Amino acid sequence: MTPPYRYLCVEQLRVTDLPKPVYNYSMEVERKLAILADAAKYDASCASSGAPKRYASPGKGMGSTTGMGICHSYTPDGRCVSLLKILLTNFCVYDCVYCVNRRSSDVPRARFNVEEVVNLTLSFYRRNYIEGLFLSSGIIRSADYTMEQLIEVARKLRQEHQFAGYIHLKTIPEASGELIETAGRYADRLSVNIELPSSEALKSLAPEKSVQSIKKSMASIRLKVDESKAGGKGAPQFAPAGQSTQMIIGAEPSSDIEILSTAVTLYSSYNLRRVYYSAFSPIPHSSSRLPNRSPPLMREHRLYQADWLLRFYGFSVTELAHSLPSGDLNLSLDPKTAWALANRARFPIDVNTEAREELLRVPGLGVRVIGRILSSRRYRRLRWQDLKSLGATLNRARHFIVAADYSPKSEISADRLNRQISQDSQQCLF
Amino acid sequence: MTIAHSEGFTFDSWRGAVRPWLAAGHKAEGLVWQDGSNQIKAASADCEPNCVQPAVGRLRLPRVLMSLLQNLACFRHPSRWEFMYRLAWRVLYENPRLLDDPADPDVANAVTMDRAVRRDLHKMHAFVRFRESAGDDGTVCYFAWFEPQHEILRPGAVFFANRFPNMCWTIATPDGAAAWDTKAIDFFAPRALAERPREDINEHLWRTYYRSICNVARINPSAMQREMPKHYWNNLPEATEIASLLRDGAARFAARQKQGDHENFTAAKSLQRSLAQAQVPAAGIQLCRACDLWKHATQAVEGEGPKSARIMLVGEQPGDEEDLRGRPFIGPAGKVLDEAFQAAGLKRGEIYLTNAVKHFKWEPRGKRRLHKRPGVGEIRACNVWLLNEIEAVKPAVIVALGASALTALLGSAKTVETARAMDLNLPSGVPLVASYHPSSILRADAERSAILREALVGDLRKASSLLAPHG
Repeated sequence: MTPPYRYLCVEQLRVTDLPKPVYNYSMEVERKLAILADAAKYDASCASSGAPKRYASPGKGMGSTTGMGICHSYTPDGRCVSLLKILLTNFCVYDCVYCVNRRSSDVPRARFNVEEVVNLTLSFYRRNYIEGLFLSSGIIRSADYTMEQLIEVARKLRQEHQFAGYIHLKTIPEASGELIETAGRYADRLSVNIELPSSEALKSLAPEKSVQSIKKSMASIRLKVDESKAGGKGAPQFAPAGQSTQMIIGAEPSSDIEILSTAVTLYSSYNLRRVYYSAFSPIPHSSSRLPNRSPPLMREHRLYQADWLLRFYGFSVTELAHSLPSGDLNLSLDPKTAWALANRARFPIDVNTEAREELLRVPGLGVRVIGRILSSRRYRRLRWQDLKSLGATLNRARHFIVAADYSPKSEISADRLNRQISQDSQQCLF
Repeated sequence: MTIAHSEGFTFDSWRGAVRPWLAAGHKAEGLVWQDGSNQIKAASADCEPNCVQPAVGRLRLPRVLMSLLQNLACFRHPSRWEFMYRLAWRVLYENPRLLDDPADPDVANAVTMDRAVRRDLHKMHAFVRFRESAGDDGTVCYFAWFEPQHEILRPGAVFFANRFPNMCWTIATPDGAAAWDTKAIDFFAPRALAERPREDINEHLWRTYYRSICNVARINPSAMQREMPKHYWNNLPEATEIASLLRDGAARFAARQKQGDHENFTAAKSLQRSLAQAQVPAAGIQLCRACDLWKHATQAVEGEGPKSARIMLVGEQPGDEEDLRGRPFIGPAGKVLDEAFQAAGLKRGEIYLTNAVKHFKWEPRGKRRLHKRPGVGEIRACNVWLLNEIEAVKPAVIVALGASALTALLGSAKTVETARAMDLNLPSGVPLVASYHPSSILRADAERSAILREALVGDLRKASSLLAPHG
């Protein structure tokens, strides 16, 4: 075959020479897509990262994964669109109060068949709209039946269409072990949503779900991922991009510290790649037990920052809790600065001499900048200007660091510093 | 001397052109970069106009520098070739570790340029949108028009060849076009772009998806534009929806909040069946909330073994693996125990294995869970489950492994050493043998571990000998 557009580079090209577009969609599919994407939009995860390097082979199939995710678009809500994120169906036998798809909700319902999802995925992928598929579903008939349907989509994509793109499957906690095993053979990532930070909250808002079975299925996914990794190259693959989960924030009264300690439990027990925090968005026709206000986006943002501190900056929940008397993160101050202000005795820190662990504690210095500092300071004594060119956020760091030609004003009182930083960061917010 | 025409270079032709000069160690400042051809000529004060090109010596560049230069070559700026030369020269003749010093102005510049090119490449991978069309002969082909910030068509096209090896596609840009025919990529010089294929009907579906997946309660246009700047919007089919989503979305959300139709949700469409009845979680121990350990554990781990077992073995609490799998003594400590069984002439299948505390107590250490000894309160809270097991199994002898098990069984704290020296019985009269917990054997140094191991085997033998009088 020759590439049909070679002649596009020739200047005289008439419209009539152009091939005709291919039409292959129905109104019905569009209606379902609108309903089932809308139903899936409350799931925060859209990551396409963590998959092994993989390419479709010449002659059949398509797709590739590089380990690094790609966001193919961004919607006006600021979130990335990486995968085709849809439900197979939004019919559901559960009645979780916070969920738009609960059985008592008065929303339009739809159900895709397996073939429709496969075709949509392939035609979107072929046009480079997406990195792959994130498929979830309401529970119909039984947990096992629903899981089988999800798996069938993944199986068709992988086996019949040699699809090498990214697949993320939602795992139904009550589904049988064999089904989870099969799901992991086809999917890059599996996820079971913990939904709410405490089991009390889950019990009252999602009476049919149990923390027990959610945790148990996370445990079994973890064990299978570990086994597959320990098996080396020859072992059958199982969810190479690991597992993730989501917690809804602000639908019930758990404090930020409770939320974070649940997250730490999940990270260390089940080796999660990510815990997603999803600010509760009011849903149509919701129960009066839920707040009807804008989603607490700043709270969600602070939780992500704290989550990063726990995973990459050597902080522990206990340490953060000490700097937060109320148990909640300070909305007007990032958690690292809040912690640093509560621990002023540890500062200032000399960027030219202190160890990495200490530098990680400085507000305004991130992991990447610290890497550059450590590399660069072997060749020179770092000055204010150097730090600037290395990318440090000096506006925040300036109160906490010493450089070759710089040290913070020592006489500034704790109160004043607090006020000054709060003002600075408020100015950043707007 | 002169290195001619920077704009005509590709990375490879630049490399070929500069190599002799670089190998000879000519300074960047001594070179004049001149438009016109792809060749390098010498022309400077200390060199004859037609000075002979230096012979190419051996020239090796560090791999990091090579890949950095490849990216810099894409950076859309007329002086990049000169800059690349200077950078390469400095690494070769001034400081081989120059790139490790990101505070150096040249390196800082290179890092910035490199980042810009890589970001642009990433955006190309993300934002190229193909339109499908079929030729008269039925072949399906794909076309995309893309306007990159930098000259990244060549490296960018490789990604698409890998991703869509079996599709015929063309990506046209203002700098030229790349076409893949399922075997090789051809590059074409830029010309006036003719008509593009008319809209692909899937773009309509894609817009529908884009509208539906946007959560209008979270409108945040600046976050969107940070990652998807306006200059890309021209060639994104979904971008037509942005304005209306921003406008209508905010209005729709406000209306919903005002509506306050909060309470009057209908249950009319509810499906009657619920899984709740079908899947009652295992009652009893799995729902135990007598202490707080359940909160951070996966499950309660019950004892395991025949109900007719004569020997019951009580450990401290499940470990990491036991917690995940829901079975006692299957981790490293379980292996030590298995070896001890064998040495003592016992079979694991004949013994009832359980723990004083049924939930795993731990604290986070990095990404792992570190075992933490249960407190007396937790041991007491859990006692009822242990007593239940003893009641059900009615063992002839109980082996307590470690201090926590002793506390659980005797109600008072004793060290293993003192307990081993005593003849102990439960209040019910069942003889109790104290021994070391296999985990403490694992923690001990080689010498002590051997002693403890022997003690454990001896204690197991002792337990088994206590069975003898009963037959």
